[in-house]
Amino acid sequence: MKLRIDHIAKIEGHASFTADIVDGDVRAAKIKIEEGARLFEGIMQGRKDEEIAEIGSRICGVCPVAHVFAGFKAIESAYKMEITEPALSLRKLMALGQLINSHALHLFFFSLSDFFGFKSDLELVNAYPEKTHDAVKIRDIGNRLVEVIGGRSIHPLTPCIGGIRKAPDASELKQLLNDCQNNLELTIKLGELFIGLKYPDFHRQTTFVSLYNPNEYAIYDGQIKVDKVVMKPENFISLLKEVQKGNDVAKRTSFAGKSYMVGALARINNHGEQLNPQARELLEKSELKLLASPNGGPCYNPFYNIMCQAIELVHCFEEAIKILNKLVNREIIISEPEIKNTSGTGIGIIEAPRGILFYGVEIKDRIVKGVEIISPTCQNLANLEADLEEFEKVEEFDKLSVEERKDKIKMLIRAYDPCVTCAVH
Amino acid sequence: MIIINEILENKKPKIEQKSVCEECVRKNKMCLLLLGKPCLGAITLAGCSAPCPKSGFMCDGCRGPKQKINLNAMKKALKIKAKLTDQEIEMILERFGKCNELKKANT
Repeated sequence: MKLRIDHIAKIEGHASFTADIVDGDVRAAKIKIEEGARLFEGIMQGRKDEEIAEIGSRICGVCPVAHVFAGFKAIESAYKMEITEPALSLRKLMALGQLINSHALHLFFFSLSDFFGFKSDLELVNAYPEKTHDAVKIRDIGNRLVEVIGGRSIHPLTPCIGGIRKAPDASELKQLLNDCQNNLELTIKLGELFIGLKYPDFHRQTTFVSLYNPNEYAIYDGQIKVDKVVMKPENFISLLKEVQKGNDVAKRTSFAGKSYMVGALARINNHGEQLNPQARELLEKSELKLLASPNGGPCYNPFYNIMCQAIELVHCFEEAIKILNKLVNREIIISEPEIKNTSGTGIGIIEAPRGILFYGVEIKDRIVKGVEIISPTCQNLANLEADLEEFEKVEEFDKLSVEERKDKIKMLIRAYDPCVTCAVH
Repeated sequence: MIIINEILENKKPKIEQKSVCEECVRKNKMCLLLLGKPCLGAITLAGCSAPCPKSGFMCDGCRGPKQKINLNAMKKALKIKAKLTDQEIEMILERFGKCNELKKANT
């Protein structure tokens, strides 16, 4: 029997799913991307250096900030430039705003109705009008963080090579700080809602990859952590393999021959102890569930990716308050740095909402010679397909009707929060 | 609002022909082009309320050229003020694929 889902709703982009069911086992599970190749890496060739970030940000409307910063970080590493304060703090704030915005959207509007069995989000909105209002409010703060500092809520304008072009308005930063403080409570409540949900029981051992910074919960900068091993980004990339099968427009990535997972679950599994106090409290409340995995180690249940995003949301608010507190009490003076080197190769890595995003660039005399982009969803796709094949081991999966099976499969795909537009860059 | 009224009055609505500079907060002071940055605000159709120059980012003409522009004067300004080579100017102008549009709008 063939299982086929023509359109998976409520993910970013268009994708479909096919699998064969042989004796009740799911075989050859495949996510098919229903979008044309966009060839962004080709478009950037022969353009000026700063256009990598400007054009790259157009890959995705949900996480443009991550693309902008990964692009600039790659250029800066090629030119051997260091970013100084306060530009670094402002960039970190924008990255946090991006995470808040994307997580709030995915948590409430993409995933939550699966747990209550609502067929459409409108039913969810009608059933919980107050919670909807809260989710929109939280998302709005994420958007405003990007807008106040970046000049626009999507495709930010102010970042430039080596820093930031324009200092944000001091009174608007104060307003933002107030809003973050007032809404922290709301975010914790939303987090508690997601901790209280009943997640399907499903485990499959895999490898978790995230950024790691010994001083803080790494989002903007750090080295690569693969399960317990910390390594340099260059070494990690040399072990990566991108494969394109047949006429598939999105590449699948494997690390040392195996599929791996990136994203909120990977981040919390790898360095959850670095979360801010309130977020850690939430994580401890959910501890039983996180440690319920077979060997007591990291949590191998991909559905918990959703809960991890809710915990990260609280962390991001706390972190934003911390940074804003430092910024509002002093004058922000910004100058555009001078570019000394004009050639080189570099790698830029950042934690996008859905996982690590790589930009590798080669530049000669400020003209781009080559770009390599590896997006989070490309890295997750292989793992997601492997998960889907094991999925029949979920309790009583063989007793479900075809429709119910489809719903469960859609739920797992949504838990990964795939971004198809990023995957077909 | 203006457009809806015009449609109700059975007129064909027209896009107001003014340049991004007229909406720019940097107008008359701190002009990006005068500071030596390749800003295309002068030949670009307005309506966006100029968010880019407000953030110190050069207008790159995403809304297309307005009618009746003097392209040669723009190129000259880019050459003298922003100190760009002919090739760099072409790269900036082709960014939104409007080379042909520009020729049409040029008077």
